[in-house]
Amino acid sequence: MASSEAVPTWEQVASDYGRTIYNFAYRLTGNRDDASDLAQEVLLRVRRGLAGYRPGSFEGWLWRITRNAFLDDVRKKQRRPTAELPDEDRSTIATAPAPEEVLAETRLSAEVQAALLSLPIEFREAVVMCDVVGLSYQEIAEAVEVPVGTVRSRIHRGRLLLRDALEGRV
Amino acid sequence: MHLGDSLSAFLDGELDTGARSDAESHLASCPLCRSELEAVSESSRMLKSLPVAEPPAHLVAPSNVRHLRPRRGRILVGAAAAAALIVGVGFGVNADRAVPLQLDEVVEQHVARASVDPGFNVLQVQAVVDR
Ligand SMILES: [Zn+2]
Repeated sequence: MASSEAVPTWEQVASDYGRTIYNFAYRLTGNRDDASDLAQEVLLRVRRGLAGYRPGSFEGWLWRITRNAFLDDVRKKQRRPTAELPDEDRSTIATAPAPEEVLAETRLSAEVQAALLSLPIEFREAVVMCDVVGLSYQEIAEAVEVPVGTVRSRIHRGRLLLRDALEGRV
Repeated sequence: MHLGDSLSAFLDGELDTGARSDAESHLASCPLCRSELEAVSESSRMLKSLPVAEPPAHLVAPSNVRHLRPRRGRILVGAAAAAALIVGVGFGVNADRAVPLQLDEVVEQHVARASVDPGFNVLQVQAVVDR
């Protein structure tokens, strides 16, 4: 969806971005139920916000809504903490007797997910927006409302932190 | 002075032409920055290789799910790369196996079927396997 296009409908946003928003939420929370709730909340906010949206940087607008919903969720959870473990690919393991290679890959994904969850939020969201969602530095800057230089430094430090976190695991 | 943050920007194609060629010459003579670039590349590659999680149906309009992300599509590339990696590790030495078929099986484990263009994935993998 190019920024110059007309304002999209809510249905278009859900069908074009629902899966990506869910994956963003899943990688940030490490938990399918939380990801589901969060993605639903984002789509509600998008539906409410579209009326006031004027064509501009749609990516920046959408991902700002998404990460703000995530931060609100984190704040809410800090008030009533729960200990939840990442549930990487439980459904895959349960439904498919996977070949050895797939199991190895699943274990690796779980390690990467656990390492990701150990990162402070500002680094976690930066690397997820960059490497999982595929946003440009400019789009991330608009979403997070920080200068591009800050985005660049968070992505770089986030990747180094991830490497350090994985060193003891993989 | 070492490249620091610019290494990730270099990796992501976020440097302008001048900065890019400066970074290239620095990298040519600095093993420290080369190893840091290797580290961030590895992290980036692992994140891009994470399987795409399938959302509950109510979160997407089921009738017209065509893509994971309309513009840059890096999730799809990442999933294909993850699958390619598995194929490379698991079946790369076995020339008798039909690689595209294996890939389809693997992708089905990890990626939403509705979202995958099989032709696209086969092309991706063959590109990797041919390398
Ligand atoms: Zn250097």
